[in-house]
Amino acid sequence: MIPKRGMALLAVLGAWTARPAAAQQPVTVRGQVTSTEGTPIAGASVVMPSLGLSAISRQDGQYVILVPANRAGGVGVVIAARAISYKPVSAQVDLTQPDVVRNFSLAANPLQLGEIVATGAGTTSELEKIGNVRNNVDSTQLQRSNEASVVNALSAKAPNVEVTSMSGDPGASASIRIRGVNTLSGTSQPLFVIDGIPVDNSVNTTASLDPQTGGPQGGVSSPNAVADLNPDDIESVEILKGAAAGAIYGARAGQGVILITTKRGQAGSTQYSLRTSLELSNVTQLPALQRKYGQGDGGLPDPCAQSNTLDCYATEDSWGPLLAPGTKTYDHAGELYQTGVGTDNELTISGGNDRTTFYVSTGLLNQNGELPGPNNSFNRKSVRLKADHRISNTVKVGGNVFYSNSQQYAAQKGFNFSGITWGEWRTPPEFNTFSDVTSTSDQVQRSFRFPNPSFGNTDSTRGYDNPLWSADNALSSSIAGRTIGDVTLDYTPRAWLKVNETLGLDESQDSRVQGQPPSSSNTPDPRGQVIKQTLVNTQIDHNLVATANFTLSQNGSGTFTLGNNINTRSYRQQGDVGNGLPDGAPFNLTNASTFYNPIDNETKVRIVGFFGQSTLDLWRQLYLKAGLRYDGASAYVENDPSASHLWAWFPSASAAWQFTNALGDLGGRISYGKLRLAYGEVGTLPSPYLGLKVYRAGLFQDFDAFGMNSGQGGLTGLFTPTTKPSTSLQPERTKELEMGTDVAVFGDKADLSFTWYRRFSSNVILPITVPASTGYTLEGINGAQIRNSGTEWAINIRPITKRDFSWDIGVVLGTNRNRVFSLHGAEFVAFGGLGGAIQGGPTAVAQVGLPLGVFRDYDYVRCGRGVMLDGGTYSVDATCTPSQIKSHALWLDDGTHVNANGLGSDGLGTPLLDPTQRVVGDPNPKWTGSIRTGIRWGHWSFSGLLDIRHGGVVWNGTRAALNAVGASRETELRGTQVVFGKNYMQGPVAGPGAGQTVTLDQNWFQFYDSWSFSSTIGTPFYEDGSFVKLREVSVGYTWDGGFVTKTLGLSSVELRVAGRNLITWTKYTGVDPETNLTGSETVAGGIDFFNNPQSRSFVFTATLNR
Amino acid sequence: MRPYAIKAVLGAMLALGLSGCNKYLTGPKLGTDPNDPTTASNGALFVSSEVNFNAQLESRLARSVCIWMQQCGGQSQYLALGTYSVAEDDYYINWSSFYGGGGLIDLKTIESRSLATSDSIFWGQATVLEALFMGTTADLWGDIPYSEAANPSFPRPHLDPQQTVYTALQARLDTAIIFLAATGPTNKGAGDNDLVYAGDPAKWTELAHTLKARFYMHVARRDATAYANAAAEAAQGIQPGDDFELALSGNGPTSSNFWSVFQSIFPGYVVAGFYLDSVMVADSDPRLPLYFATNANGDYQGGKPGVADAPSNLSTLSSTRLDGAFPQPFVTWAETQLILAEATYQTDNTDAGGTARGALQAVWNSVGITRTAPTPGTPGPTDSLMNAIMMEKYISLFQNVETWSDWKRTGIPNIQPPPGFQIPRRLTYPLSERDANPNIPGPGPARNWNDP
Repeated sequence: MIPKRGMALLAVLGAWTARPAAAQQPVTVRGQVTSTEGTPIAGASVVMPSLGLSAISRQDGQYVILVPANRAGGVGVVIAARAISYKPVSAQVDLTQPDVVRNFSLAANPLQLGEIVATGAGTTSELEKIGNVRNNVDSTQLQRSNEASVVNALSAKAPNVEVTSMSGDPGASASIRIRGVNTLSGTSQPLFVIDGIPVDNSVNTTASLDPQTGGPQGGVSSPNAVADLNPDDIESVEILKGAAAGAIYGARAGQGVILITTKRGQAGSTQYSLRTSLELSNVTQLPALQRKYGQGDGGLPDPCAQSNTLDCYATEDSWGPLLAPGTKTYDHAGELYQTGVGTDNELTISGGNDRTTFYVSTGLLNQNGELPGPNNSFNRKSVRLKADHRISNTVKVGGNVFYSNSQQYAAQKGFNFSGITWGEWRTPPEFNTFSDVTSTSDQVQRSFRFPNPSFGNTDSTRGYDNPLWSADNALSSSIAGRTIGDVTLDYTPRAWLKVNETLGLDESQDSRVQGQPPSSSNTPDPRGQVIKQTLVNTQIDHNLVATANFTLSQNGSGTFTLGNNINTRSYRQQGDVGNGLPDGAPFNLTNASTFYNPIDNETKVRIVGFFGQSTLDLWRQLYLKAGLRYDGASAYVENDPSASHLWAWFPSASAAWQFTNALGDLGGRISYGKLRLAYGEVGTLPSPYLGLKVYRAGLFQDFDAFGMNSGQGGLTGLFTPTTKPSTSLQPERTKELEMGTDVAVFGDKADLSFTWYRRFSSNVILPITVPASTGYTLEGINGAQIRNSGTEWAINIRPITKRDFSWDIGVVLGTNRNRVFSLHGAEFVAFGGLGGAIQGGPTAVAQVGLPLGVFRDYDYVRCGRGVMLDGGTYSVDATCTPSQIKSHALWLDDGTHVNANGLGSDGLGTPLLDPTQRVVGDPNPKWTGSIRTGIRWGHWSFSGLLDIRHGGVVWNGTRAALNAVGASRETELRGTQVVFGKNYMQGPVAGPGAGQTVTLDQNWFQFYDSWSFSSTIGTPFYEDGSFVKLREVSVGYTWDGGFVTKTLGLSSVELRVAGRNLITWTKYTGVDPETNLTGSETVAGGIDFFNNPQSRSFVFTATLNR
Repeated sequence: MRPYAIKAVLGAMLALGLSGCNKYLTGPKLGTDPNDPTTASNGALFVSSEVNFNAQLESRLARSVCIWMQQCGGQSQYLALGTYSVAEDDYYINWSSFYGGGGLIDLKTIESRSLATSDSIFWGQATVLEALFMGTTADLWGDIPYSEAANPSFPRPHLDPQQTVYTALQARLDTAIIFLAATGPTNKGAGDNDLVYAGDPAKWTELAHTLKARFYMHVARRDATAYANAAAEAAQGIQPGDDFELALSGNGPTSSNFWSVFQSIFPGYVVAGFYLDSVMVADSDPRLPLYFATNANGDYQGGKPGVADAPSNLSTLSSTRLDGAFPQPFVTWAETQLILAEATYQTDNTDAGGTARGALQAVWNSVGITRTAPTPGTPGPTDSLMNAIMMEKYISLFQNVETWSDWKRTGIPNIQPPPGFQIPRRLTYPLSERDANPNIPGPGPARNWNDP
């Protein structure tokens, strides 16, 4: 298909380039672009559409267009100037004189009316004609965020676009959620499209290759693939939230689409920009630890820790004696963290002439995190060349090549015996972490659980790794080369017909090494481990779009678009896990003594799509759009040999009515008003191969997360996998209705936007639990229904818009209510949590009638739940009053009762554990919002951004685990007398033990108020994760006076000091409530368990423009 | 005109596209899995099934029973097992692995294919293994899905009463014994793919008899004829050197005994149990250094249930038992002899023929114990002979989940939970099975049918 069409286009192209030229004299058109207040406007584009010529204004607003002799000679040629946030102006010039001066004075256009907006798959629209809400982030906003990844930079920029950074580690991934989550099994992340090419944004965790070393819950915070992109190259980001907006991407738009457009050169003088910045970062928030009690149990010191006995294991507990006055203690919460230093240098050169434009950039980012040691950095080297050339008046070709090399060296985190905070925060206060190494030559580490290693002892696990040693020696690197490129051909055979063909490629090769040296605690063999992994991702995308304009009458016109998309994606991963390394050996597989089965897998997915779209503009006020996409996907095929589900339709329609054109401006109060209505359907692809019956070689797992190879003694062992082959899977489908209004008031002094939406997702693929007695445990079926509905508000106020002084404020607010409607008969389906060897701890579930991702966990025995004690003979509720039943009062025991597991309480006046899991918390925020302000005062500019999240719990598993070992600050309460409900665990209480004075002891914290392998209580650790965060603040000075231009030869110099995440106001007591242990691809959120902290930073930037 | 042209173009694109594109969307790596085999030989399935059984019986289940029966002590995050805390879903992996891949579902595949190819010996070997899986499951959980399990016709298998399961297993083992005796060119059996007996039908037959004896003992409190039957089967059971155990290479964590892997990752979580350690010290049992290592002071010191102690005070398991290549004994000659002894004693409290004493003596002799088997005293659990048989079985079956079954049946040894706690008598049905299968009524009763 492709070659045929390509040949035809090339033939036409040849015919047009052969056109002869007429002889004329060249003409120079020059002038200045200013605002109506007289301020020069830099970066305005001045175009002569009929000649295909354009220029971009310099810092002083001046522009020059050279009209070549063969094209000059018209009278009344249209010339137009447009700049972002100004209303475009067009005029006519006569090209009869060699030198023409034309100045432009542009009125402010805060609503960006008339601007051309990318709407996906090569289509564009004028902003006021769009029938759905538009959310756009421009290059200035991206730069002000000072984030290394564009995903993080989208934080707090648009309502209901919720960005969560997994941790503050350099290069750590961030998740993005648009209008809630509407899938269960796949990724909840939107489709990223860069310059028309869908690109990979997956997150891979090397540690997943060894289940003992940890899946996403352990290991390190790996980057998401879009972090390879240089944010400086981005011109703008369009967030296609709703189904109507995304429907042009059909089967892949189920979670929304992020359209990224990179910068391009403009005709005119060559522009140079050099930006250099220095970042100093620190951690934001740390847990509170106790520094009063030492290592030991039951108030007694640990004999191993006290003595100099070699190679003994000491207790992990800080339940020892009160430390003697004068004992030196250490700040284990924060002592490891230093100031991280990073630099970012970006050079861009762009320019061109009437036929050819180019943009060249190169960037060098180098971030170092807050931990000591060499394994805490992210750096990225990138280059881009984007150029286009107009071969003839009708044919334009373009090329765009981006290459980057990203390297992450990450420190261990989370549920992981080598995790930095796992070891550090548990360390008893009197243990000196920094005296970790008895001899640097033999890599012997000393951890608080293994305090006296004999010289050279590297083949004993340390129980927990010394965090300093882990930071220095545990390697986890990712070196990724990424190429994203495309060639485009624009062909305009008639004024009303435009054809665009884009052929793009996204390829990345990521080479990973994870190494833990001998004596590591986290590996199944204490002599260490090396993992090598290679990930290769290739995506090729072909898009052909033809758009025809038509005019029916003076009051009716429109466009008609037809397109075809062919996409193929393949993914390969290979990995080897070697265990047992000799002392001092490099992390090379040849040094390992034993190996797991190699990991080797491959997936391939293809899509073919056809789409059509028609727009109709009526009476210059009513804008209608209808679209239809027809997608075939290979992932549908294999599930259904008859291929009846191979293809699926995705329709969409929208209407925008600019009512102020019909009704007038209502006495000047409303200068612009639009009503919007949109409906669309989009899909989410099933994972490939779900329908195939296969056998597998692999591990038989133990509950404590290690496994035995199914093949032994040199023989192959194959077995039936636990997932039952699916039959006839269909695409997940999301149908969404959206309506809203955009209004400008008081002569554009303020504008507001309101949107209401309801999206209903059906056929959601659900890994449903099947009875294990059938021989399988899971089956993927089209079984779930999920609804998201919400509102989005945006208000912008511009109180002052003077020439030398302007001030604007923006507020956005998004609410989203998620509800699971059906789970194919199941009450709930678990899809995340701590995973691995965990009992208790949070289980994120989809439960019918509740928001997706609510946690099920264990609570204390309470009134009103029908709990029976003493082997079913004692009814708790019978001892509660109606009001206690209503308030689910905490039921306090008199020391005589046992729960359904036969377990009693900690004694008179304390509660019992309820062994039934219940829904205990919802991590989804009630609403999210942000407040942004910008002030410009002469050469000074100031900006600030507050990010607000209200509601949503976070499981503070760190505190829960630190309670078990007596390391948390709250365990200082040991030995104190309390009364439950009164001065401890305040709230209503009931039962025979109510009001009794209780002495809190080790046993209470260890078994009744903590998380560990043997303690399951959950509810005390679900904390409110609301926060208000000073996300961005910056002050800049732009210097463009005579000294800069005459002496330095530059057009301007900008100096800026910015802060990122400087202050967080929250009641959450762990690390930053913006955290998630389980990685950015999973649907589960709100899990904090020894995650590495978040970072904040000061950034000093100098930008030199010429 | 124009709408027609548009329709024509659209129609042509679709027609051209759909025919060509269906081909583009199907084919290698698109409609077929590029990673996993679509078939598996009986041999490869059998290897997995034996390894799986080995893995399950060395897993957290075995560690838990060892701590519950106070053969082992739990420390650190295993401390709560000593207070008999049973989390609902802790043994879900065991449950699902008994039925799933490497368990019943694959054994049934081997059996049906063996019937089709007239390989009676392979059928017999797979069936004995199936009986081992399902008999263990029935003993742990009581009423279990069996007749409808791992069968695509039954998406929600019903529970079969525990009694029915044992009856069915006895019948299947009878058939297996007959099939294992088959001769002829089609009867190849598992051969080299049998990691335990290298395909020897005679040894599988011995195993089948011992399993029959074991299962008769399981139902003995409900079935008056069980002891006699058990004694008769035990007499034909496993011979010395034919223990059902699987030696892995010990080369790396995925080819090692789970007890050793667990110790290397969670050192000191499972230590010597105070009760067993004390008994063996008092008896000067020659197996003591094979079971446990001395503590930092050179003493044998076990951990008491639910009591945290300093790691340096406690004996860990021995280096023998923590060797990655140690073959964990699952069904042994010693167990067979002790079943013979107990069953004989139960049918004749006087041990008139001396069979019970002879069997006990043989076991003692084999491990180097020089005492003479005691004569019977007052009938009942405190009888010196009965007590000696069961105590020997308790010691001999160290780390074997069968000790839990013996304790439930006989109350020997007389272990006591910490005050306020109760020793569990069965595992609860896993939560995920209950959620997905309406035929499972809640977590189940406190006791199984065979444990009235």
